[in-house]
Amino acid sequence: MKKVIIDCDPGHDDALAILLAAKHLDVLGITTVAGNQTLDKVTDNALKVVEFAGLTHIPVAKGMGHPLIRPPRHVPEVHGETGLDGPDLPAPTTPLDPRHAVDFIIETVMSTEDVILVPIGPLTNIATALRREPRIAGRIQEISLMGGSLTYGNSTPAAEFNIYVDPEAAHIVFTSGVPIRMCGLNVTRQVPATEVEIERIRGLGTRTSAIVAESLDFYRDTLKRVFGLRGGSLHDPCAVAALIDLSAVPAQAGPTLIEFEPMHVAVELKGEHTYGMTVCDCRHLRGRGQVSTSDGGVWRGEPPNAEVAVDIDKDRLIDLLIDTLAKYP
Amino acid sequence: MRKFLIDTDTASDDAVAILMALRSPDVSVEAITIVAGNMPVEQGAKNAGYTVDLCDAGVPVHIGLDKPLLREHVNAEFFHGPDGMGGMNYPDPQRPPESRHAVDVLIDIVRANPGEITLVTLGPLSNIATALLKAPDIAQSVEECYVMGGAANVIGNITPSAEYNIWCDPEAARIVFHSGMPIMMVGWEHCIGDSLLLEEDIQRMRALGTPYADFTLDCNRSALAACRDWLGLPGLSLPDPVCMAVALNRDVSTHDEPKYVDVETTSELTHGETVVDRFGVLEKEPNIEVCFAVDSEKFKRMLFDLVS
Repeated sequence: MKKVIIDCDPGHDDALAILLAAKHLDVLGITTVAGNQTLDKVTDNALKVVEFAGLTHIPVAKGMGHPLIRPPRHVPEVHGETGLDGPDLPAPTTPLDPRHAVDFIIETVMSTEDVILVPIGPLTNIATALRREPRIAGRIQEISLMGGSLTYGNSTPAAEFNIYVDPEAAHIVFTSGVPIRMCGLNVTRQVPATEVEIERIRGLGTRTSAIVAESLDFYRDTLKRVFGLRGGSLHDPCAVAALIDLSAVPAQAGPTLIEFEPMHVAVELKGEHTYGMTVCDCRHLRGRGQVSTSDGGVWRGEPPNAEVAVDIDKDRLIDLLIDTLAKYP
Repeated sequence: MRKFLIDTDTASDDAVAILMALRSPDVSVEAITIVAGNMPVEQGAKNAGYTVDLCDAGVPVHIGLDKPLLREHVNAEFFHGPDGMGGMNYPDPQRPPESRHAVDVLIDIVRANPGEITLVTLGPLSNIATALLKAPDIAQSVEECYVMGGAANVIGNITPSAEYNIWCDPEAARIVFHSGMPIMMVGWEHCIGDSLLLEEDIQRMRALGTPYADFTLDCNRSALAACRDWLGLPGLSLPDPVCMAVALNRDVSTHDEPKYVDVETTSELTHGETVVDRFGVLEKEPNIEVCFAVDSEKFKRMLFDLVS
């Protein structure tokens, strides 16, 4: 089973990512980072999630409360004042792991083979860990992240929130040499959390499904109210789903859930209109199906440093999420 | 008769776009203005002039800015060949370029034909920006300006996120995009995919046997090779003719919407990117109509009709 650390800022969709990961992957720990809300709030939320889902065996470590350079940004207009508005969850009593998230990541990676990091918030913890202990770059099997976009952004026309919040950290991660899988907004925004999906979840009739449905009610309603969208998008579960071996999930057998293409990704740190953007060089894909670059063709720019998601089977991802939620009491 | 003004850095695909306008029976091309881009202006003027001669059109050619507003000029010989015309070395045009500067001619023609001029820009926007700075009133007098340039987010050719025309002179593009002129941006992405001239299209065009069809293919020899070797495309991309097709018949665009669009000018990595606020996250008033999809079959049909 793949061993992962989920680095997150819960967050409605983060909560779902945790629930998805816990049933398909070996979750070594959950680390928190300021993003959707303040560090204290998202850390509380991470503990609430492991408590209501019966996952308190997974250690939760608190991380960086401030981006490397830029001022913090949170999105109460998306995730509410608590960062996980909706269900009224009791204050958590589970203790935090005593270590700082950065130390937790470093110690886990240095002591365990083949750890995969799954950052689904700003990349502050991961970047700090890479700088604090550069040897982890050679030991991390892979980073599967939710962030950036091959096309449009949501914080600005060009930039997606997780990268926009801490682009310098993202730059450190994308230049680290660690194999990266990037699920950007271009695919994650396709995964809907509208009434249809929420009612399917509620219909499971379990305690967990009731909490998840109630949290997604809030998420969908705010996005509808504030942004005029049909509903929310389930961004973060994509980075987890990308790691799940679906051949081991009988009902989900089929071709790839998320399709990736190798690209060079640079993080824009300067542009007036583009700062925080993941500049994906997909020029070699223009002749797709006609000209192969995998066998020594010419790359136009820098060689690829990431596998970037270009397509997603959103219906199957929703099915996978719902089948997984059904496993919870 | 619709009145067109064409501003161009004439190399091979520009020449085909010019030919399309010159051969359109309901269009009168009032002038062709030349800007530095694919080619230095002298060569661009020769290429435009030869195209005018080929169509026996007698349209005046005026030379404009010989470099971008702020940046060094970077031409596209590597793409279009040393003469910009696939190394065909066509003869000099029958008449040399006119003596008047392109910027002044642009202003005069628009002012003399208020509300009647369709401006089609096929190169960097240096001439248009300069004209708009000198005579801001023309922004409101142009009927519509069709810009071949840029792309909706993160589709580039010269860099990962920037298209050549805008990349060449992003400051000019910024001036033009914020001038208040009615603009339709027909980005680079529309000349790839289904709009590419594939081998079968090329053979079909060759079989037409007209001088216009031969010219279209001959002058694009280098471009075709560059499309294959440099862009990795399975056929010939014709960005300027696609834009001209939309200008000639707006129905060639099957999806366009007014959007807020800005041009990145400050960053080394992304300068020249046209940042399209597709989902309205900035909540700003739209300033550009962005073409999001074209009818490739309609484009090809129009091209074939006009070279027949």
